[in-house]
Amino acid sequence: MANLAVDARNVGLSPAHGPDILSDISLTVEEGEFVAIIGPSGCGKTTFLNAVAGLTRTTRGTLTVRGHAPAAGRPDSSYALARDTLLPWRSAIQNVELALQMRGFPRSERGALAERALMRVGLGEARDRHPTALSQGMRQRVALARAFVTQPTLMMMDEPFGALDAQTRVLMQDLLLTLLDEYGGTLLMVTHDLAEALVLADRVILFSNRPARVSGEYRVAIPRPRNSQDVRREPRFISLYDEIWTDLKDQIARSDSHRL
Amino acid sequence: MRQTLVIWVIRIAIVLAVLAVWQSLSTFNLMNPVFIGTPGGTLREFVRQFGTSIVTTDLGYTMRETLLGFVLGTLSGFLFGIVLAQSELVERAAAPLLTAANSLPRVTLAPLFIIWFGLGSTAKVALVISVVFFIMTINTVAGLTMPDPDRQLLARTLGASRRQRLLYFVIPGAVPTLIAGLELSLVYSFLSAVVGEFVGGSYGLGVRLQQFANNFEVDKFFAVILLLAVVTTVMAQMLQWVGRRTTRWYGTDRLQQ
Repeated sequence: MANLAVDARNVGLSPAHGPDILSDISLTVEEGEFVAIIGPSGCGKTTFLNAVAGLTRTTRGTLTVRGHAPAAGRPDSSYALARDTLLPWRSAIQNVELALQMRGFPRSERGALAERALMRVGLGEARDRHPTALSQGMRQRVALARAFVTQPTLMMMDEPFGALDAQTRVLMQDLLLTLLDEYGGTLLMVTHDLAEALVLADRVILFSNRPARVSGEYRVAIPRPRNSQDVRREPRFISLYDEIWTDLKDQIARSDSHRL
Repeated sequence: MRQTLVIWVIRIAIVLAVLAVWQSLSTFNLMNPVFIGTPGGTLREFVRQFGTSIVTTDLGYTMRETLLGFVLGTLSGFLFGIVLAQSELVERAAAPLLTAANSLPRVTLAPLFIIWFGLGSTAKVALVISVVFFIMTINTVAGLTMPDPDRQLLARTLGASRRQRLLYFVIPGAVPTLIAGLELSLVYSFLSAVVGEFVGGSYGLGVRLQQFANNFEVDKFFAVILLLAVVTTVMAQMLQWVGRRTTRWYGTDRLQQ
C-alpha cells in the first residue's frame, strides 16, 4: 500500500455565514503522484487546496497530510498562490531567498540556490530587478522559483501559470515536470486549464459545482517522462480531453442554471 | 517644459506681489514701519545675521535641541508602537488614551518642563520628545496594523515565525507610513524647540525671536523667521529625498494606505 501524501475522507466545509463550500470530498494523493483538480469557477477547488495547505479549517470529515493534520508552512512542502505576492521592497533574487530564509537555510547557500532557481525559470538576468520593474508573467515565474527553491517534496499550486502567455506556460509546465522528477515530489494542483491538467497529472479529479463533491476521477495513462508538446498529440490525450470536458461542461451548466 | 516655466513665473509673481504690498504699507504710511518692518530692512538684517551669534550660537542650539529630541522621540515612539502592536487587546485599550495625549497641545507644557529641567537645552529636548513620541507611536501602530491579507497568507505558507513575520513582512511593509510619520515629526520638532525657547532660555532662535519682538526690532525678527524657514525647508527636503529613495520600489503600495 503506497504512502498517502494527502488523505481526505468526507471532508466538508460549512462556513459560519453563508452556504456550504465543500460538501463531501473524498480523495487521496499518493506519494510521488501528480494530481490536478479541475471544476467550474468558484466551486471550492481553491478552498480545498487551502485546507490541505493548512490555511483553512474544515468543519467535517478527516483530512490528513502525510499522516498529520494539515499545518501551514510545513518545511517539506510549498504552496504557490494564484496571485504572485512578491514583496515589493525586495529584488527578484531576494524574493526567492525569502523562502530559504524562512526555512532556515544557511546564509552562505541562499544566494547560489536562489540564483539557480531564477535561472531555471529563465530570469537569471532579472535577478536584481524589483517587482514593479517586472511584467506579471515574470513575477509569476519568480513566485514559481520561490516555490521550488526549498526543494519541497509536496507542492501545492493554485493556478500558478495563470498570468503566463501560452509559450511561457508550456516552458514552465516542462520545467515543473523535470523538477518533480528530480526531487521525486508529489504535486497537488488546481487549474482551470484542462490541457495543462492532462499534461502534468497522473490523475485528474473533477469537482462538482458548489457545494463541491468529487464528481469524477480520471486516470491519465500517458507514460512518463512527458513532454508538453508531444503529450498533446497522443490519442489518449484527445479522448480524455473530450471525456472530461463533456463532464466539466455539465457541471458548469448546472452552476449556471442555479444562478438563473 | 512650458508648464514649468509658467509655474515659476506665477510663483515669482506671487512673491513679488506680497513683497510689494508689504513695502507699500510702510511707504504709504498705512502702518507704522516700526511694527511691521520692510522687505529691504529684513533682507539687510538677514545678511547681517550671518556675522553674529545668531547663526553661530543660537542656530546651533536650536538645531541640537531639535535633532536630539527628534531622534530620541521618534525612536522611542517607534519601539513603543511595535510593543503596542503586538497585542490587539492592549492596543485597543491604549488607543483612545494615545489619541487624547496626542490631541493635547503639548507645547503648552513648556513652562512646566522649564520648572522641571531648568532654562537650559534639556527642557526643550524634553518638550520635543513629548510631542514627537506620541505622533510616532500612533503612526507606528497604524503602519504595523494595516491588514494585507495576501502578504499574511504568504507569510503563513512560507512557515514564517512571529518574529520573522514582524521583521521581514510587517515592518518593511510599514516603511512608507513610517516615513510620513518622520516627516511630520521633524516639522513638529522644530516647532516645539522654538516655542520652548520662547518660554525661557539664554540661547536659541526662539529666544532671539522673543527678544526682537519685545524690543520692536521687527526686521530682525523677520530675518530670524526667514532663517528658520530656510533651515526647516532644507531639512524637510533632505528627509523627503531619503524617504523617496527608500520607498522607490514600493510602487502602488504607497497609494494603498
